[in-house]
Parts: sequence; C-alpha cells; structure tokens
Amino acid sequence: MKENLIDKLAKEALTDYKIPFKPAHWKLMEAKLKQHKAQHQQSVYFIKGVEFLLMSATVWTLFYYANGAFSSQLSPATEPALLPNIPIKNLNTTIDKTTNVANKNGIINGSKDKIAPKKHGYAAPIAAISAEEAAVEYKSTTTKNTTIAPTNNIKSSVKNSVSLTTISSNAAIKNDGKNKVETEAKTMLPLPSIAPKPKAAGTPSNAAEQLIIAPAAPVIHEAPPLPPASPPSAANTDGAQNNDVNANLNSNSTDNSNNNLQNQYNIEKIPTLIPSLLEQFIDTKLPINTAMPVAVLGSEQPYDAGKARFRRWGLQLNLSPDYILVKQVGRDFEARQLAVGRSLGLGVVYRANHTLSFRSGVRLSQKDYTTSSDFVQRPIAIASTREAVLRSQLLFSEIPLEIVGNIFQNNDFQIYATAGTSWYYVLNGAYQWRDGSKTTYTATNTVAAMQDLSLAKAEQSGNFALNNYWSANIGAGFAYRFGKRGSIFVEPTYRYGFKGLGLRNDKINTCSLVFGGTYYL
Amino acid sequence: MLNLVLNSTQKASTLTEEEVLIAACSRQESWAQRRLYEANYSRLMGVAMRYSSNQNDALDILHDGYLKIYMNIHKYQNHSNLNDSLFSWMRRIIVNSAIDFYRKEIRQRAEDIEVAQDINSDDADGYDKCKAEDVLTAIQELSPSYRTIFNLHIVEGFSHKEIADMVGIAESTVRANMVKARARMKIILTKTAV
Repeated sequence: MKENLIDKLAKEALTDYKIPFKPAHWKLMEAKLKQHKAQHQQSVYFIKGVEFLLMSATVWTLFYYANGAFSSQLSPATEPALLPNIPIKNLNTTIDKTTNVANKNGIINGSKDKIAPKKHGYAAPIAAISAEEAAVEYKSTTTKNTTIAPTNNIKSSVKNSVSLTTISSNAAIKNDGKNKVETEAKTMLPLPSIAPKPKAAGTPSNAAEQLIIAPAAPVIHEAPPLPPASPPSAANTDGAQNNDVNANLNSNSTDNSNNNLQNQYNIEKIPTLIPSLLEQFIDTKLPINTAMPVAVLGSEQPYDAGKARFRRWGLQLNLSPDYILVKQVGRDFEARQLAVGRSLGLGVVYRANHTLSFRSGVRLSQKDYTTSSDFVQRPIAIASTREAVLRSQLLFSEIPLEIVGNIFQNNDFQIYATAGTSWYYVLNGAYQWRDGSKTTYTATNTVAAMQDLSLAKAEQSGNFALNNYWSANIGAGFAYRFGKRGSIFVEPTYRYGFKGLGLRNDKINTCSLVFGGTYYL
Repeated sequence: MLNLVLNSTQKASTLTEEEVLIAACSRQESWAQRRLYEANYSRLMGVAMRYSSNQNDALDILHDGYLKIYMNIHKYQNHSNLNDSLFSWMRRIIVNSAIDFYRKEIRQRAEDIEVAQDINSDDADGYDKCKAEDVLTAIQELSPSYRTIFNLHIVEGFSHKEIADMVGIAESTVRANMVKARARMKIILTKTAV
C-alpha cells in the first residue's frame, strides 16, 4: 500500500510539473542551434568540395584519355599547337643521289610510301618501298654544298613529321639489286609519317617486290592505297600550305636551292624539333646492307599475331561485409553499435586497355539499420498496454559505376585502384508496425493507428528523391589470376554518401571488404 | 476558376496557428523556433528535470531534445482529434533524449545498477504530504538508473518489459530496481517530511 502511495504521489506531483520559462535558457538554445548550423555547413562544404574534386577528376580523366594523351606519342592533331615555329638556319647539307633519295627524316623519295593507320596511339612505323626506288646512296656532310631543289617528288607533312616513328639500327631495305643500298642508323630517329605521295608518271615500279620495313615499333599495318599521281609542276603551288613542306632532294639542284626551298615552301614553319634531329641525322651514314636479314611482315599478317587474346568483357560476382559508419538514418532507423551490413553483386567489366577498365552492375545491400526506439510510439500513461515492435532491416539496391586503374600487374597478380560512384535506392522503406496481438493499435496520445515509418511516408507521397542516395567510392584491390579467363580479388572500399537519404538527408558512409571473382569472356 | 481560387483561399485560412508554427519551424525560422520553445518550455523542462539530478543536466536533455524537434518537425503529422498531439510528440522526443542521456551517463560512470545500495524500507511515514518540489528533489537524489526506471514506469507508464527494451537491461533487473527505487524514494521523502 505504501508503495502504491508513493507511485500515486509521484504521478500526481510530476505528471504535469511545470518550471517557469527563463529567457537565458533560450539564449543557450539559440547558441546551440547556431553551433549545429555551423557544423552542418562545414559538412556541406566538405561534401561539396569532395563532389567538385570528383567531378574535376572525372572530367580530367575523360578529357585526358579522349585525346589519346596516355599514348607515348604526340597526336598529329595537337602537334602544331605544341610545337613552336622556329626557322631553320645553318642547315648545311649535301645529298648525293643515285636514283632516289631518302631524306633526313627517313622519307624515301620517289617511293610508294605507305602510311599505316594509327591504332592504339601508334603512328605508322612503316615505309613501303618499291625495290627500284629503294636504291639509295645517301651521303651527308657539313659543308655548305647544299643542293636542294623543291619539286613535288617528296611530300612531307609537317603535321605528321613529329609522330615519333623510329627506325632501329637493324632496319634494312631490300632493293632490286640494281643499286647497293645500305642503311646504318646509329641513333633512333624520328620518322615522320608520310602523306600519300603521288607517283610520278612513268616511274618504274614492281609491286611484287614491295617490301615493308619493320622498325622497332611493334605495330604493323597495311598501308592505304596511294592517291593518283599529280604532275610535278603542281607541287610549287600547293605544297606550302598549312605547314606542309613539299621538297625534292634532287642531286641536280644548285647551291641556291636552299634559299629557294625556304622561300617557296615556308620551311621556317618547321618545328624546332626537326632541325636538331636533322643535324643529328646528317652526321650519320646510313649504308643499307642488302645482306642483312630483313624484318619483313606481310600485309596480311594479323596485328595481334603471337600474342594472347586481349579479352575486353568480363562478368563479375562479388560479396562484401559492409561496416556502417553512420548510426542513424532518418528518425526511424538506427544501426547497432557495431553494424555490419551485407552486399551481394553481379557486374560487368570492360577493359579499355591494359591499364584502364570500367565496371558496373547491380548490388543488393542490407545495411543492418533497424527501426529505432525513437520511432516506436509507446502509449504514455498506460502501463498495461503491451506492444510488440517489428524490427526490420533496410535493404538497398545499388548500381555502381567505377573506373579501375592498374598500379602493378604481372602474369599472376594485379594491384589496382578504383574510383567511382554508386546510386542506391531503398527497396523496403515501407514497414508497418502493430500491436503484437491486434492488427491495429490505437495509442492514447500520438499514434492514431497502424502506420508506416517516415521513409514509407515519403515514398507514399511520391517523393522518389527521398528514398535514394549517391555515394562516391574509392578503393584498392589485389587480384590473382588463374587460367586465361579467371581472377579472384579482394578489395577494401570506402563509400561516402554525398547525397543523403530521407527527409533528414542522412548520408550513409560504409567501409566494405569486397571479395569476388571475374570471368573474362 | 473562381471556385478554385476560393477553395485555395479557404484552405489557407483554415491553417491553424500550430500548423503555421510548424511550417515556419520547418523553414528554420528563428521567431517560430523561439515561440515553440517558449510555449512548451515549462512542461518539457519539468519532464527533463525528472530525468536528471540537476538543472544543468536537465537543460542538456531539453536542448538535445529541442534540437531533434527542430530538425524533424517536418516529419510531424497532426493526428487530428488529439488536442495536444504536438506537445505529446515533443514530450516523447524529450523522454527519448533523457534515455539517451541516461545511457551516456551510465557508460561514463560505469555504474552497475545491480550493485546499487540496498535500501531498508521499514521506516517512514508522513511523506504523503510532500509538495511536488519535494518529490522532484527526491527523484533527483536517486541514482540515474533508479531515477530513469522510476520515471519511465511510474510517470510515463511504460511496462517493465518496455523499459527493459529501451534501457537495454533485463526485465528482472527493472523490477528489482523499481522496488529499490521506491524504497529509496520513501526514505528521502520521509526525511524531507520530518
């Protein structure tokens, strides 16, 4: 009885106990609100900064790779902008020619020069020469007995001249036996890509004896067909446009031809890279030895002959435990003290090249958020009412889009880094809770009847934006390859939610340890 | 067209003061926040005082609760026929804040509620004439675990099982602590009455 008296006394005294308002307390509350707002703004600025960095990185990556800058060569399209125009001076060269002339950049005069199409960033390392045109005796000195006269026999495009095609020291040109041809390149020299050169009318040719010189660069392609021949007289009128140089290194030219060449064909626009390389080349004798084995590749030979097939597409299965770093989503869901979610995913991998690949897919993530005590509305002042709470976990669907870049790889192992983004959508935002014994429940104060959680309310109101969020993903992985098609990997990943979930805009951050396997098709 | 305008006008005019206040608070307008604070301060501070041992702790509970209220007031939905539903919603948030505060306090103090002092409940009479302030003081003198359980059970009306779920202890512990809390209250109130 005494106990009941105490209960009654406490209930009567305290149920509606009031304390008079103190304005000073509102000041404290105001200060707390300002502090909270400042903290919120800080986090917003941080998120915006991360978003900006990610966007910048994405744009830069797209721009960088779209321009082929990952290649070791300059793109012909960008070359004029990269290289300044510096006039050639003191270019003292004597060239003796027997039948045809190979110029300093390796262009074979009068030959059926062929250009391999650019592929995978390599310019054409090929010059196809008809046998009778390949007979070259090339001498160079540093005297002023330069004999250069412009004709249209050589058409060299400055745009293509810096494509770093090289002739290695073992390159050889096979001739038809009429002329002794020797080549000895002491240095690696830039060989400009050659614009299709019109063949002079009446020039003898033997298609059956056409050879392809295979330099050190590995890419070999069949050359495109030659354009129709143009008369020699036309070269003086159209050759000087757009940094193009049409020059014929003719042994019959006079000493004045050097000036003529500069005046007529605007040689001053040749980039600075060329003179230095020319001078280097001028000091080099290039005897062509027909006895040497010739690295000849037939034009029908496939590009990837002898190499393992590069498989671009792959399927990926992955699963991961996800440690949740944000404890509460909305007012209604909270994570446990140590909340570990689970994810299972199926994806597609596309390898753009040996270092870069893209992947996407679908993942199902159970985040281990359960209905919180904040949501569960209990009857106030009715101790007899029993209430069972259905605790449910949130389930998300995730669509990731990630870039994978190799850091290190050999035949068996691969270390890589990943970056990207994921989009999540709550699959089961709607939960109902009810009294354990009844289908509906009426509380005394705040709850009308059986109802859904606030996420469900948002969903029911048709506000799609409230039930999805974005994350920025970053991670690193280690993969072990087995067989020709398979690999398994482990990949720690951090996912930072930069668009929150629900009305409170709660951002879910997770740390995942992704295990999986890839099968390349 | 005219009907449409009239309907919208009628709709706007039917907004109650509470709805206007909620809408303004949702927009984080300072005047509305102050008004909401002032209007409910006295009763909610009373609730917070019951769950704390002093005014500072009560203020912490109250302000934590108000922060939650301001951040989540857009979620509040008026349940029509219940007159004081907004206050009840706010009160529930304050109670939850108090429970959170209790959890923090327990963690910091590492107090084992099972080894709380043993109470002799034989003596004392006359405490039935104590004032509300005396009862409040007596509750504030209880240990945090006793105070929380006593409040949740006696004043808020939660069952032992519910309290066990909320606080994270066994139901039997709740029962035992309730007995001890009552006994302790009896001693304090008797001393006060004498």
